[in-house]
Amino acid sequence: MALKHDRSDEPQPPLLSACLIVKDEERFLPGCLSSLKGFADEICVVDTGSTDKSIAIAESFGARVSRLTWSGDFGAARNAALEQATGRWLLIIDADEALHPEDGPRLRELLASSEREAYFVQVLSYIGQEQVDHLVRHQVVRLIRNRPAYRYQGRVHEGLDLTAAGNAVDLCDIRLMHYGYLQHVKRQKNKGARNLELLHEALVADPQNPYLHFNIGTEYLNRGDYETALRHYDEAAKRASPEHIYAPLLAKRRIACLQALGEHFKALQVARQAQKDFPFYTDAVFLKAISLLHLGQLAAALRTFRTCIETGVPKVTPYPSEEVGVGSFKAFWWIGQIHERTQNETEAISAYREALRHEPRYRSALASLIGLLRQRLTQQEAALALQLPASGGDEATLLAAAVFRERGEYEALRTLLAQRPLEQCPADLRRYWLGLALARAGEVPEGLRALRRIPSSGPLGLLALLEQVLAAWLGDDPAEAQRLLQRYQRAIRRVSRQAPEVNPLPVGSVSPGLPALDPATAGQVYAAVQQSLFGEGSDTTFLPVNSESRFLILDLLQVFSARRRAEAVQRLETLALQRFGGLVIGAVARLHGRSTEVSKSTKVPSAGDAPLPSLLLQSVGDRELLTYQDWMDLARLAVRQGRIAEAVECYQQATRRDTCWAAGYLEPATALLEQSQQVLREASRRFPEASPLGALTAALDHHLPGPSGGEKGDPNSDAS
Amino acid sequence: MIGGFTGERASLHLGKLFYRWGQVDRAAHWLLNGLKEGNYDPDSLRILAEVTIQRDLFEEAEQLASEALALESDNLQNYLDLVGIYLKQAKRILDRGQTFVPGAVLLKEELGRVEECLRWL
Repeated sequence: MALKHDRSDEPQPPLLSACLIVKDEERFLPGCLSSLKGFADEICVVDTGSTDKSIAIAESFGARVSRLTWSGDFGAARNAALEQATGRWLLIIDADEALHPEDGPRLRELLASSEREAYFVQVLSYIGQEQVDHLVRHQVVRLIRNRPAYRYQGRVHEGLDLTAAGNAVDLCDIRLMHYGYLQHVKRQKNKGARNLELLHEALVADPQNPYLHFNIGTEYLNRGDYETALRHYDEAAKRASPEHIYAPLLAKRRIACLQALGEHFKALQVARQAQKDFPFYTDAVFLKAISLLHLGQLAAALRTFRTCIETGVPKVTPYPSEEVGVGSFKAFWWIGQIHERTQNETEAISAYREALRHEPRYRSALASLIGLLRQRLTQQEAALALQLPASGGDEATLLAAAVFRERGEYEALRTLLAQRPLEQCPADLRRYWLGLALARAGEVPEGLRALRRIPSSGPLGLLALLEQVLAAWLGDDPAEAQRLLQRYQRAIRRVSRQAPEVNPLPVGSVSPGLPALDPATAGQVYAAVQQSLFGEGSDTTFLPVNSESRFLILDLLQVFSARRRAEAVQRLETLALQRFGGLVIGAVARLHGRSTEVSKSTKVPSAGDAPLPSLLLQSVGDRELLTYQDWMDLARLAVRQGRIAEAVECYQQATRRDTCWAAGYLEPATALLEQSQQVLREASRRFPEASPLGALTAALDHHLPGPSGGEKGDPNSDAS
Repeated sequence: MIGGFTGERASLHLGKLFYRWGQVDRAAHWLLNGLKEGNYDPDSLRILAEVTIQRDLFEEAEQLASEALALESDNLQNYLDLVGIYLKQAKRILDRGQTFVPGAVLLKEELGRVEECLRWL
């Protein structure tokens, strides 16, 4: 298969061999091998027992494939692949990785003139959804000269023995994109269970080995078992010196465990030590800032986040892992959060804009910026004031569109798309967003026209059909909505019948900001739509508690609420609270709170009577799971209903969850002052001559802050 | 017979008496007994509201003061008591906010304003 770049009259070994071990990797293997095309001179694959099409796929790319009976030893399998290679340099790559599309030519240039023995490359892992804020960078030795001395050791977390290389190991900025830890893939592969079993076996033989403890800790960390992870990390930390290559990562993960367990003071101590041991390790400084924040030391946290920005993260660093953005856009976002906590909104907006200037696709900054702009501006004004950086292109627009959609702000969505019409997007994706924005903003025929042009067999087909159902129903054509709903159901059946390999990928993998609508979720959403739109069926147990269905149910609730469909709101809300309880309570409270507010200002009836916060809370099993934001949303709903005592209780709960938001104190105080005003007004009416009333009323009237707060706070005055 | 008092409203009278003597805890005990028995008046509710607010029981204080106001809406003091409860509660919340978010200037300013309002009561 090789495309030879280094041609010479004298025969010489090829420059680069790619070496892989595979087992049932048909999903990712084509992406991996395609990325190597034109850059690797040969591909050596060791198959350890695939039962899928992995071998055929590898052979179709011209790979040399050999089979090895799996003995539970990753190091041995890796070495078997290295043995096959004839190139002067070896690239060790996994099937769920791909060479970055921009790095192939540079890779060959680097190796052709190199005098080194091995290189660390940058492995960029997607640890959540495929979004920039879930990207982690690791430095791993993956490029080595083809010498028998360089071989792997270790059964699970195999490591290369590069003793013979001496100091001739260097860093380079070649990137491998790693998709294997996307969460759903991780579940499928059950990597953790397999790794843990092998690691514990190894630990029995070598109980003092710090690297084994480190790796076991990491497996528990991935499972969310922070206590056990911390126990193993502490064991590793006792025995590993700061010179060990994984020591910075060990420190970082210890801090992460301590933070997850709420032990912020200990986390701060470990972070301070890490800052001494590993100078300019921005990840550790960033975690230190977060601990300071949790300890209420806002000014110190602010300074530390600024240090992260000043230090930045060099493109190539000596540390084994760097979280993307800690030296730039994530630090700016946290600075914005601190300013928001102290009610310094102008500074917060400026920090969020700075975050977006560094990374226009950073969703958290977009959402925060939109939230603040909406406190001051109308939907349309906020969309215009967003001023997304041009460098973000359509991806930034899509993310902003998703934020407006989640907030149920369809006028803003329509304005945004009029301003930035997604010209670089695939046509169907553009039609989908345009149709959705128009239909939900009230221009149903125009919206339907755009949506109908999307083929139901394409990756957006199911979502577009679902949107058409909604549009027809919003256009008061229930018969058409029913007909489209049946068509949606038939489309689900058709997709389900297709063989798994030709099923369209979940949409979320294709476009940012859209839920992954696989056939199973689509079917369950069908039932929810049928029930909420037409009141058919009463079984609410069909809906799985997963993030995709929760997203879609809340999305439907937003539409019903925005379009004032009280009956549908009530039906779907009951279903949502029954199935999701505490996971949706904040969103439901927010929705009703806003609906009540809009009704007051526009005199348009709201979408049904807002439920009392105490009633909403009855659907929650464990109230400890509710977040600061959930309690704030409940409190605000209670304020809008005039239930001040209930609101104050909710605000108290919020500030118990997170003590460092000024809003959690300011808002209940304002509500109580408004109560005082009401009582005084009544007293003034009854006792017009009473002298203390006039002065007190004037004092209260004069001092109540405006609706947006808007006054500056200075976190720098905070004592650290 | 209770403490030399007899009759249906003995708890109420005794409570008020202890209050006049400055024995707040005892006063609260007897006034609460009276409340449970259904024997209360605006005066006793005002006293109980004052005692509960000293113990940071703002919600209970508000209920008591509101009830006093409902019973005696032509008494200006009942309005001022209720306003006082709201303002004291707001002050307590803002004090706590100051502790946790000392850099928030708006909290500090708001606290100053509440304190100013309280001076008028």
